Amino acid sequence: MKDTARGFPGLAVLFCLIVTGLCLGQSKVASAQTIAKVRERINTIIRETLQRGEFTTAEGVRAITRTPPSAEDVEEIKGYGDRAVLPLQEHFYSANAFEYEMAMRLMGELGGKRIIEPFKKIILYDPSARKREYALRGITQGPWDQAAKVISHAAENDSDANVRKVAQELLSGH
Amino acid sequence: MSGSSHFSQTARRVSTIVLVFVFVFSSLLFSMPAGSAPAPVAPVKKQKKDHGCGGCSPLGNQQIYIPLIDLPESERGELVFNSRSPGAMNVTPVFYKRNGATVVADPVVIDAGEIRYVDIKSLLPDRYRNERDWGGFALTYYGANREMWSQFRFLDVNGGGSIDEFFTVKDESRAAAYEATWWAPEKNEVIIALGNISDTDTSANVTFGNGETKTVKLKPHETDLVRQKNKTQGADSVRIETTGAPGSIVPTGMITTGRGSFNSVIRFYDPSTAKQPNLYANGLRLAGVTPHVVLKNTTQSPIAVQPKVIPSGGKTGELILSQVSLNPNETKEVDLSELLATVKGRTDLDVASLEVTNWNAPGSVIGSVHEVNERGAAYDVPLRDSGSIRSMTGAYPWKIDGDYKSLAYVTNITDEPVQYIVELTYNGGKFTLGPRKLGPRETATYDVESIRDLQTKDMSGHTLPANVTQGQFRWAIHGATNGRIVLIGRTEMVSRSQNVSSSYSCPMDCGPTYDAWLTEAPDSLTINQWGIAAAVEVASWNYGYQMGPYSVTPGWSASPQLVSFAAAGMDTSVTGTSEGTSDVSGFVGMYDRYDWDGLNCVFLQTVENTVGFLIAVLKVPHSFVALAVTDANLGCPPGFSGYGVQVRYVVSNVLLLPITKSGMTPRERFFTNGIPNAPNFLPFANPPQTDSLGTFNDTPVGTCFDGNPFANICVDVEQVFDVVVPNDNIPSYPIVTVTRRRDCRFGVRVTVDNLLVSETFTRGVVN
Repeated sequence: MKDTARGFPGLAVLFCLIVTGLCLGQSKVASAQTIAKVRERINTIIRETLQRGEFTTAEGVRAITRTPPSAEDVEEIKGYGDRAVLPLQEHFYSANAFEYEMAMRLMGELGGKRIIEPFKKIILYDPSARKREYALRGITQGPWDQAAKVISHAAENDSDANVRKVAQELLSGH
Repeated sequence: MSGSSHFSQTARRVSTIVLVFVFVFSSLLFSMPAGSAPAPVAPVKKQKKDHGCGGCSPLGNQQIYIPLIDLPESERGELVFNSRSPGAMNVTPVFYKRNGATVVADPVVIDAGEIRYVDIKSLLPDRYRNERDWGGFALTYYGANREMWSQFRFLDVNGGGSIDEFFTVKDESRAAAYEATWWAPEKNEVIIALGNISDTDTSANVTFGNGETKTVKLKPHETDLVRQKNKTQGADSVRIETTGAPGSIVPTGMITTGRGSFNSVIRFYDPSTAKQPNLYANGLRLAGVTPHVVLKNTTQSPIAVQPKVIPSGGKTGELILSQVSLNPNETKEVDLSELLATVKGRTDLDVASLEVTNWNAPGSVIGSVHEVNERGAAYDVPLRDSGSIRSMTGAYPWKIDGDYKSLAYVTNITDEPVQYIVELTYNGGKFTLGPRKLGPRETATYDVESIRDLQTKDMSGHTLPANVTQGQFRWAIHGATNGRIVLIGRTEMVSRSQNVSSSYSCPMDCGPTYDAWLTEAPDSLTINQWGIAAAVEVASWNYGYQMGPYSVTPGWSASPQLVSFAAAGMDTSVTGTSEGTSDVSGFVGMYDRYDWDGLNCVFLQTVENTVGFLIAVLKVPHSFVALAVTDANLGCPPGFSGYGVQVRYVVSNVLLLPITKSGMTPRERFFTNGIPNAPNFLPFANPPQTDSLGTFNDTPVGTCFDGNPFANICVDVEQVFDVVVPNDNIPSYPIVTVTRRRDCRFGVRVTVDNLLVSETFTRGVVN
């Protein structure tokens, strides 16, 4: 009887550990699934928005122009909150200007301090001056006190004169 | 002139200069808003402030005194240091033996705003701690009047409850005569202690209500006790006439029974300093206790007075008791049988206020209230004149550890509504309740334990931490009274397990001065757009002690009237109604200012506090004017090529004048070869909002083409617009501008058409 009494709490602890472990494991899986779903949706939104800018001229020549994301798509991405940051950030590294511009625009719509680091990485380290320029425009949608530090740095230190000029205009216009 | 007198004069001059410098520097330092206060916003244009209080009590050497700290009937005495200082203070305890011998103890450092309870013997130098026969006690410090305060209580008197003793400011001790009255149960002993606060011999005649008189002679700082035993219960009184220098004697008194079942303080009053004739008490319990109200006529003429009991809710439900007639010098217990019968059927009278209306001269009647609970324990409730101007302030200790309970009461003693501010402080934090209005005769009750346990939120959303057990309850009149006394307050601290019942009603030196400033205000609005105007206020004492900041809601006006105002919680929504520049003014309130007459805080004048700002109200957006078209990298995908430009616009009004406003979001719909891109307007600028000049960029603009890279193929694009203004009653404004583009592989032509005005920009080669 005594042995049973001693063993019971041990079994209970073991049971709890297993249950907790399972739950934690399941929650990680669920989280990964969710992020995967968010990534999939974001990829789709970007792809479909870019496709909406494709048309054929009267002469039968394929053409592309920029078209803004729809209000519904913007709301959907805002709804993902922090989970949208990484999937959007992945598009920042695309060589396709239409694609990274669209991702940067959507990141700007997310807003908040969470967008500072993704833009900051581009502004400080990306070799493409054009991409740095558009990242500067995007980072203005974050908290200004944090964004201003990055923009100021670019205004003084960016290797490209046009990027420095854009940064200076953003600072003076605030 | 001798060398030594010349030296002492020079030293005096130097020390005067140093003191003046210290005072001026301190005033400057302490007049700055607290570091934690929200920063004023940029558009503040004007701000009438109730600055400083140059006339309030000057800094100097201060001494507060009690005549007795040692009783054979009590083994322990507890002192509470009650700092009202913004910084740490050195306070020196001075002990006097009953015969006047002086022992100066080591200074104690009391932190800013600290409440510290100490066994009074712990302040004594070690070698004196086992001695008895202590008489008076003083605390000395350098600072402002009442910047450091204290209260003493004898504990376990005759094995029973505690008895409070109240400090006197030495410089304010001027009384030639004191009067006191009380109720006591049967087999009681009354102990009157008389302390000589002065450095010279003095004497007094002590005359009890039964005519028994005793003459007391006191050497400097000596304390003597006069005891009177009484077999019967009832009302009694005493008059002390100082036959030495007026103010040289400070009395205190106690009532105790042999087994300590009833212990209470006797409060002494100087009738000559009463400010008005009525007597007031608040936090008077009427449920579960037996109250005893005693009145004494201190004059040689018969007097009739009118007691009234007022529920906490105020004048409605007031209970007027029978008039009480008092013969010359008569002491009489008020018959409360009528009241007690009524109380049984009225829960609104469980805790009430008492007012004794007296149509005779100030000080002609004094009173006391002693309440006895079912266990025989006594609660002292001060019943007295409203007091001087400073009594409309308070900084009282509270304690809620163990079974300690602390209740604070603030009562409006007038028939008009009045406002006050409240702040609870504790080690490292504060809980600011801000201005509260009290209706006629209303009493506000603050149960500190409930505030903590229910996690009640203050004006900033803060709560009292769950582990705080002691602190300070601060309050002060808010608004102008023209020097009239309209509020009284006190805290009551009770612990059954510790047999403690104390009442604190120690005021500050003077009412505060109030400063208000803007924390938010719009500098420009378009017509129909709204912005938030918000202000905070802080109450300051001249030595730097502060309450707040807390939110206030000014009464706003604009000249010319180009904006309208609407309440938005504590803040105000300001909406642009007509174009132009308006001077916006917020009336925060009228406040009394005080002066120092060398002894007391006195009313000086009433001043007005306002905040204000200038605001530009702009016309609504109407068009986009193109400022420049420059080349931009279109970033075409591999296999595609095209010509890119950036179009810089400014949002303009109907006259095509810029609306220099940030935060507006331009939106577009565009048609390529007549086909729309979207069913509704979408943001397109990069960044999406206007900058502070009202400008924005459409970039990159152009079309990428596949196919023969040498063919300058083109498409026609037409853009139409609207703009969203944040916080605007109109969801979006239509823009008359139409931008027509011809996007080619090797160039772009942009025509911005604003009805009668049209501008064309061409970059590169356009077919």
